[in-house]
Amino acid sequence: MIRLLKIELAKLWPANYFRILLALWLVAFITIPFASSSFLDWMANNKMMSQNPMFNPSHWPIFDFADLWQNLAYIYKMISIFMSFIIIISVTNEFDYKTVRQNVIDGFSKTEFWLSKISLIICFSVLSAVLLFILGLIIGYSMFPIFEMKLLFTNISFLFAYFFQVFYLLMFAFVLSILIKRAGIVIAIMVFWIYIIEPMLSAIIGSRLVDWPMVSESLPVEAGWNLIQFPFRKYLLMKTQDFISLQDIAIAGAWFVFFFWSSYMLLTKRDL
Amino acid sequence: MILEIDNLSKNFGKLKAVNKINLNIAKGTVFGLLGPNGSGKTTTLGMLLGVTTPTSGSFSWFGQGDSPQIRKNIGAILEQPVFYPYMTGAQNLDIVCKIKELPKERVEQVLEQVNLLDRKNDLFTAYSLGMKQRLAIASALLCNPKVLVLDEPTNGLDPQGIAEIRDIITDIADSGKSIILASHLLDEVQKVCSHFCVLQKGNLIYQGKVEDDFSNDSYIEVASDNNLQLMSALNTLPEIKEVTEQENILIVKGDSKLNSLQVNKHLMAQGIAVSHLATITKSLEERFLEILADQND
Repeated sequence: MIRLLKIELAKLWPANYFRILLALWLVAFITIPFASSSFLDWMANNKMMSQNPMFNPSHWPIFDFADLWQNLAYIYKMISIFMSFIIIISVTNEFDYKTVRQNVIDGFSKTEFWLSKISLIICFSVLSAVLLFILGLIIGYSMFPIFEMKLLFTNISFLFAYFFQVFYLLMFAFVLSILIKRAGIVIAIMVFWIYIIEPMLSAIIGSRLVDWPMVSESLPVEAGWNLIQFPFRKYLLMKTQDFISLQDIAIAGAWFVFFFWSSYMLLTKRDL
Repeated sequence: MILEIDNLSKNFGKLKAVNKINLNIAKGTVFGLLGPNGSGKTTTLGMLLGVTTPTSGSFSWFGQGDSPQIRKNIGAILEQPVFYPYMTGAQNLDIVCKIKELPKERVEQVLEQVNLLDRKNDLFTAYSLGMKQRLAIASALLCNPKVLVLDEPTNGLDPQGIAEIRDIITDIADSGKSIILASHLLDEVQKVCSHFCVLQKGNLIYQGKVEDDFSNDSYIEVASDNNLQLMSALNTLPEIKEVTEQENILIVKGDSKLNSLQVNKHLMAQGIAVSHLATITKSLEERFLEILADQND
């Protein structure tokens, strides 16, 4: 697996698109929490806002420990689509250049080729989670400089949820890439699916089949998305799911297994 | 045996792209796989190299079957040279080295061998077609392969590029490696191959030695200012079986030992000077067309 990952990184590193997307992702990753905390400061200085203490977001403990892990994970899951573009381009390029075929001729088994891409996906997921952890510590400590282990690791499960959510999205992108093989089309379909098709389906199902909310939660992207629920409602004293529900894990897990199985089948059973 | 193929078939829907091919290729041969475009050459090689799944039948490399591990000891290019365009020649070969689990030093050695060392740090996209083809051969040579599989290696090259590739192939063949060469260019196969087979519409319709197929069909042309005298002189040589005249040139056919030197010595001994003397070997092209014509009858 490590050998396969090294090969993947050797393929990626000289590519311009990889360096650019990775740099964009890193910049977004590092700046978003700082940018949003200055936005909160601005709101606090806004007269109208600051007159109503309850709705003053600068008083919300967004970047304080315990709350921080879910909030950060939620913010960051919105930029994981950048990472999926790297996977999409890397996989579709192999079909475009026919290098997947040459890799097999040179001595890869089709399974090894599949594993090499999986190893890349795992590497990116781990990288995302590690960065979240490091930034979480820095931000949390700068906001509230009390170092208490118990508080620090409360809600740390959202770190794993974030790891899984990135892993899940990248696997979804991987399956689409093998199926469609053209980077532009895959990216268009994915964006279209995430932002238009699924919300529409979810709305239609939601209104027609009120008794079956399970169905809209079971759509492929929604299922992964649901792992980390929208956290900010609780500051308006609304009901918020601030834990990872077993049902969400089960639905996402089922899709996840399907992504593994279908990507493996598509790659190994087809002629290259 | 380098390769044994047993009843190998591939269907694409109703189309029988490759139909029950049986073939054995011995060690040290340069084997030509001939056939018109679309006759199943690339499909056959694709199956032998693990990218196309056979519909039925089997094959075995080096008597050990088929596995990715075995492919690591084969150098192969299918159709055009395939590399990552955004990488340099050396970076591309480095990837192949990693896949085949070879030491990095091989990269420089093979680049030297195909005369690309001074361009190793240029992007693949900046290479000419001839250089790309040479890089592909370098890549195939990385593992110091027991057998080299080349599919149309001179396709689309200019005459100079073709000559360069041919020299490289001849050098490799001289070093004792086995080569399987697919081509629709007949004189290419005739120039470099020792054995050949012919594919047509997925069927293996002929196989044999290049030498056998031509030595039987060679003849000698002789002419002088007095062809009548020449003919009677030639008829006294016991190795000659038949002399016929065609447009003022005598066509001499004899047994396989007969050569032009012998004929010339014989005529000089009789005091006859010739104005024309040549050994004519039938080209593979003629033979190939004959084989295809036989099939159509």
